[in-house]
Amino acid sequence: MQLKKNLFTKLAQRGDTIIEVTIAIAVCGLVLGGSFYAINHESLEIENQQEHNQAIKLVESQLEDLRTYYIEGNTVNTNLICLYTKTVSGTLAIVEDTTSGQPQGSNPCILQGDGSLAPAGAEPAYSLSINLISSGSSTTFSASVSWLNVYGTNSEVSLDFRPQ
Amino acid sequence: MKQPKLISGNNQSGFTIIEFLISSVGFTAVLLIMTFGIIDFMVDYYKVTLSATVQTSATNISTTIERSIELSSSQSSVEFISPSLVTVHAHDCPAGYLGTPPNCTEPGYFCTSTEEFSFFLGEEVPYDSSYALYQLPLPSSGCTPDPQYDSPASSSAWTDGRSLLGNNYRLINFNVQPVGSLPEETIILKIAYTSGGTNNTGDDLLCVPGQPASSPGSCSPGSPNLTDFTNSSIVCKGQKGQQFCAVAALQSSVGFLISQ
Repeated sequence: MQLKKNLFTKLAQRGDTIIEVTIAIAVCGLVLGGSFYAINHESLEIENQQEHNQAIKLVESQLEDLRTYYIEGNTVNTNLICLYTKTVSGTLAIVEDTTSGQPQGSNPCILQGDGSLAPAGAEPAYSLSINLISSGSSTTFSASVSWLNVYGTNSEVSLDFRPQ
Repeated sequence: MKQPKLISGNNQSGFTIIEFLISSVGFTAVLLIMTFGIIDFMVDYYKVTLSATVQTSATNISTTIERSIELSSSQSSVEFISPSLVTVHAHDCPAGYLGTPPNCTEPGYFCTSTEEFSFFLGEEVPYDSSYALYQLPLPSSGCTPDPQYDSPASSSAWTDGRSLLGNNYRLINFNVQPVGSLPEETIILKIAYTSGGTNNTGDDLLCVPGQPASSPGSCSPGSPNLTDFTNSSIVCKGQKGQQFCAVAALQSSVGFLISQ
């Protein structure tokens, strides 16, 4: 009986094998790797949501400009790309942009999230556009903002405005 | 019964000091890499969440102001008065003014037909001022600073309204401008959140790009702290502790909903 007890005590003190240690490290690595992936994914998702919020704000401003511009009796150019506010003779004014193809940095329809002109190479850069959709007697404007999101794909936010 | 002599003898051989040292070094290296990895991605995560929070705060403020303008009875009821610098030759700035004599700043204010927004530019809540942007009902005296709200030190006396920026926030830039004679206003807003460092103000985390390396507020490492927090170009300095800093700027347009 005493011999049996000694045997178990000695076997219990034998420590871990290299295989056991390797498995334990692999499990820890998996848990840490999983956590890293989850947190990284969550960070990207937060940034993506932030960009969406900025895009919504930009498209709302675009619609506000369009509504004011339209109700003041201005004829909206069919080649309109976007509307933007600019200081003209010391006061702010809404200006139509009908010139496409200008590079980022000098294109007034490509903005940063804070509404300022996007410098060349800055990301995310939001491209604003307004489309006139006429159907019979009704006129609808569709304002949209598109940008390259954090996942490297294109995102777009669009809102419609139908003048009464 | 057969005695387990050989087995127990082999298992009790243990490690030599060299084996132990090598394994300790290896294990320490693995632990260090894991620790720095975890710290690094937690810093990134904190930075992103703080940035999103500050962005949300800016959006909420902008939306609050937009709603107030939209529902104003007329364009003429919207008035924006910038903070004014007053030279006072006294020991302390008078009640309602911030700063150190002789340079005392009176709050700026902006009114719609129903509300007033009182603000201080560049002052951090609660260390420099008890509020940075405060929304209150339009005083009966009209669009003038209400003495009760004019004093940043008397926040306990405030009975109505609410502070739109919490602790550690600063209003960097704020302007509401009419768009020509059109029934529309453009809102320009920039806020910053900083914490940590001396007195938890995080003053060392903000800088202005393009400043000479030795001047206050330069983005170069080791430069003196920024002193003017009203510069609209302010950004977070890319240095240790940058996860405790976030800046958000917004520019939006809002038209009047009620016919003029």
